[in-house]
Amino acid sequence: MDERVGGVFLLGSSFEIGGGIREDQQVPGLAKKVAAVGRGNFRISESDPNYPSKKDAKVMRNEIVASVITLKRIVQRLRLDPDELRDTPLYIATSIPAHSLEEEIDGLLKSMDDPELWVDQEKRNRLLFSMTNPMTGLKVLSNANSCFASENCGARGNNATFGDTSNAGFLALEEAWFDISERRSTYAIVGVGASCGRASQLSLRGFAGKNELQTEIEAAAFLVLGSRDRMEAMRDHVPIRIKHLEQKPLVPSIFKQDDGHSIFETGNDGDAFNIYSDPFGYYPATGRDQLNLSNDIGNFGAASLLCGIAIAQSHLNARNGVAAVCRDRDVYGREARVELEARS
Amino acid sequence: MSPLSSNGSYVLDYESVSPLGVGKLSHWIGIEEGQVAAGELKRISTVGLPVTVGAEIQDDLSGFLESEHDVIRECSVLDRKLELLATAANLATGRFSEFLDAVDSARKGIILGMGQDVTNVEKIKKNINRSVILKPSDAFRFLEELNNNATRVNMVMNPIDVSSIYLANKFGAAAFQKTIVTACAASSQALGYAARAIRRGKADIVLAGGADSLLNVFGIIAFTKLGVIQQPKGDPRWACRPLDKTRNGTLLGEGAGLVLLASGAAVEKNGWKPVAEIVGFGNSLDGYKITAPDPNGEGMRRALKEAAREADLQPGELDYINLHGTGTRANDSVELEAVDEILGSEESPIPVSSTKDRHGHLIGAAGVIEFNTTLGAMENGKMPGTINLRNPIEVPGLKLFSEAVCKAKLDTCATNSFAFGGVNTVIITKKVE
Repeated sequence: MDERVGGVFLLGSSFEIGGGIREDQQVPGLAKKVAAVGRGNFRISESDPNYPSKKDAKVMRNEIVASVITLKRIVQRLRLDPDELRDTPLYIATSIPAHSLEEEIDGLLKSMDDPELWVDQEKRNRLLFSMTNPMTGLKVLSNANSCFASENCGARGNNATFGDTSNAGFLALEEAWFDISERRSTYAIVGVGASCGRASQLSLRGFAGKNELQTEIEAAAFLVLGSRDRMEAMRDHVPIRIKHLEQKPLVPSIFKQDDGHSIFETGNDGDAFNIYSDPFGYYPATGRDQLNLSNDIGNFGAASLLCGIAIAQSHLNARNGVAAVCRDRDVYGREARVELEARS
Repeated sequence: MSPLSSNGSYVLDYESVSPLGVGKLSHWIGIEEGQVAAGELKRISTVGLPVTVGAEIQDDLSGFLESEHDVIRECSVLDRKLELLATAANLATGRFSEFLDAVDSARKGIILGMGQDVTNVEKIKKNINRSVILKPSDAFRFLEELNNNATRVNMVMNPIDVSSIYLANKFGAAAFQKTIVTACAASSQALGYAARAIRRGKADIVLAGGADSLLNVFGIIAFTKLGVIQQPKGDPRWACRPLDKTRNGTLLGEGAGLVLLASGAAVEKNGWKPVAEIVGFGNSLDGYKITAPDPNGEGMRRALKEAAREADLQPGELDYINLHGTGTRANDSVELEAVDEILGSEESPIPVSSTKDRHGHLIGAAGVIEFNTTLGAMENGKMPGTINLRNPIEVPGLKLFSEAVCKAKLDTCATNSFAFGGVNTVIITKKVE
């Protein structure tokens, strides 16, 4: 993708990873930290100052709560004014709302406990109706993250919610990148909330084949992108340019398991810090200048690429790094690559 | 044909599968003849539920999938959206392939707007021996076994984007496969972003559209509890009364639609004859509440303004608008006020209608089916009215009408889609002579 005049900059980012890991953790210790606290679900306290209101929390899935908290942190840190963000684009990547689907499976399992319900359809329908929370329809809304993100940061411009593998993160980032490079906007917000559980395990069953999928881990991340003018106005931040983003053209097979091994041009990135995410573990193991999210921490699902970018920014800021390359391969084998360049 | 813009987005062909008809011609005939698909649901048992009506596709679709891969046919039994989308794709394969085969794989893209996956408990039940009580762990293993067909298509719980991967396989599209999940605006956004991808040179040809069905026990319960659907008193054909003062709910439907878009350069190079051009795309968020649209319609106004700006249109210049018009108390009057303010004209009121009273609210597929209805109207020179309209909400700059169709010369039309969660999408289309 050619860069347009002016450039697109990563003004700031934040993330929340299952086990309670946030952007203020030092990247080299991230894997150890996650191993220590255990992989899996978000650990969010209701006492968090950014925790949503009780009314909102009632209709939020776990990954939406984590997303809202993550978004509020970056909006506060960058001191963004919601009024100024009014026409700002907001692009979201999402996993399938696994928790809500799990609840449905639970309903199915409960129904199995009483064989009479399989026979008496009317009784079963009445029971399901009475058991269903009036807000369930909103709780399973696939674009709920976008709704709450917009409400909480003020961004009300161009938007889309892409599902549901890590490729969705690339698509969200690409739209935001275009909005700024085409000068439709001077800011753009990109986010992701990804949950995991039995439903995603069921959903991913057909992908694994002989390969083992890495352990799933919940994650949320938000990136704030800006034009050169916005970057220059933020003098207390290390400017990071999104130098290049690219997706490799591919017709992913719907019928065959992924047996490919492309690593999308690794090894030619000079001094760059390399972040890999790949649910099948094809990418190299973690080394001095690289982090393999999937192998060392877990499968972030839809959050892999965007979380990787947020982690890369933390690393560049903490280590005065000059460049980072984030590579992602989704469960269909679609590969994306994003290059970041720090400017002093 | 007037000169084409090289990076303009032109509609080459389209396909519709709706409760009014399977196939774009059948759908259009249903519109022209004033058919209403509302009725008692037959594919699922609604006994014991407070709402028992919907707009259902009652045709047996298995015949349209005969040439499909075994896995797609088997999985379509449990995944209604995949079944609807595969039906639309198979209906159009011959026509679409003529265009798609002329373009290199890396220059072909897919963008779909899809609905939430809902496990078809009713049909799974038929696979389980009713006399056996399973422990939860056994039941989960059973579901896993049901999925284990060694492909990426599942019997239960497909990834939402499996349909776009299916189309990419069918038509060899490598540039991108995108799945948008913005509920009722999903397939409209798919069309809008397809047009943008072409304008940005990311692809020469894009297959866009969507599929959805909420005609399942879960969908009916969820929408009833949200107060969005009501059981009609009397004849089900009056269940949904969009833009009417007596409206009290929408009509759940199901369907799939596809639109084949190409760049002006590809159209000229191949000597194709496009039907229309997407000239405007407006897209905004309410940022209000998840539980209700912004009662001031501020987000709708911004989407309408943006679409009109992109299409370089002034108030009064549109020939027809297919409204979102759900028939709910919350949407219709707010939408009419917003449309009137941004696009209306008291001197020459713009004809507007909602066709959801006939085919129902197709949720994720609503945008593309209503876009295709608008294309049909432009091609046939007949605009569809709101057939159940008896007591219209009054707006000075807009003309509401209830005829099945009215003859009209339609050059420039708009389609609105507004979703739960406050997503507002407007597409403006211009006929290519």
